[in-house]
Amino acid sequence: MLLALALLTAGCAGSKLPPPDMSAARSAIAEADQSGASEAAPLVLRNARQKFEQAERAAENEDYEAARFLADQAQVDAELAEAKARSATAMAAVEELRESIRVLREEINRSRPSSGGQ
Amino acid sequence: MQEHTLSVYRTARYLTLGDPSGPVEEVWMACHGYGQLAPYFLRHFRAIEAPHRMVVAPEGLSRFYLENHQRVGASWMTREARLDEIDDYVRFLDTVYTDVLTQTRRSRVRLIAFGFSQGGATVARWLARSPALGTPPADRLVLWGSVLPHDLDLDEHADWLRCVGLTLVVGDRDAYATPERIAEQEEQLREAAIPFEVVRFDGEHRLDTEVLRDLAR
Repeated sequence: MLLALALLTAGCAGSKLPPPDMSAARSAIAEADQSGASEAAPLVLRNARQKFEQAERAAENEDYEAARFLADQAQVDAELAEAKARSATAMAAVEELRESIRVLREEINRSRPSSGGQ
Repeated sequence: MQEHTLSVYRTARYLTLGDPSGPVEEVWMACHGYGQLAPYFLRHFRAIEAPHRMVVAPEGLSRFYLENHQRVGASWMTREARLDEIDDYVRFLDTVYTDVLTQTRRSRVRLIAFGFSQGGATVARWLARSPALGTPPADRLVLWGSVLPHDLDLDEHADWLRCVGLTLVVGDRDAYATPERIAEQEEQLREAAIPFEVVRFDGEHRLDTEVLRDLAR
């Protein structure tokens, strides 16, 4: 009985954190990349990749607490990079629309008959 | 030597969770602590994401390097030119809040003013000084790991403090919002007849996801 109890509780002594799930950070980096963050927010995306690599190294060294923290940070950086990319895309669309309106106005003004004096 | 001051145009940022085009009924203005940045602070609030809720995390106007240039953090103010810095961030928070309301196309939402550590004093001063907020200035004030700033006269501001729904949240091993500081704050609030609640959790000077979820219910 005592042996059974000891065996049951043996795993409890100095229990370690499980390896972190890195998939969310990995997905966030991929999505940021696809959204154009490498052009719109290259530094932020680079930070995300660097932290993710550090997280992977920490996980390999079984420093799971550090790995989890770094993966979390990498995910935040990637999401921020994606947000910046989306914002840049929206701004570019606004600028394009403004330019189209400007060109249209010019066309309208050119095609108006000039009112000559009589 | 003469000192001169002038106002300048600068770029500030804030980050958000939530869809402003959705059925937003509640806005959390969440101010981070000293040395934090808004994106990393905001991630804690993913735990309370909901269709009816937006969480807004403005970033302190002064950024600086930390840990031998390995990290960047932000601050709301220092004791240097403190009154000007307070005026600046009150204006900034008013602008952010107005911007958010514009995006949600609502003139009125339930406002939860949330501050962690230095952010607690920041939101409290914002509520006390803002010309843009109504009466009371918010529906709830949450000070996490923080107390009301010493320059906030409780008697002078008792009217809105009594209406705002004040919650102090503190970890039992918080090295900044120590038991002594919290006890002192509790006594001051009782003397001013300002209702409040204190939520304690097992932890240090940090946010706690489960407590945050409970607050948001």
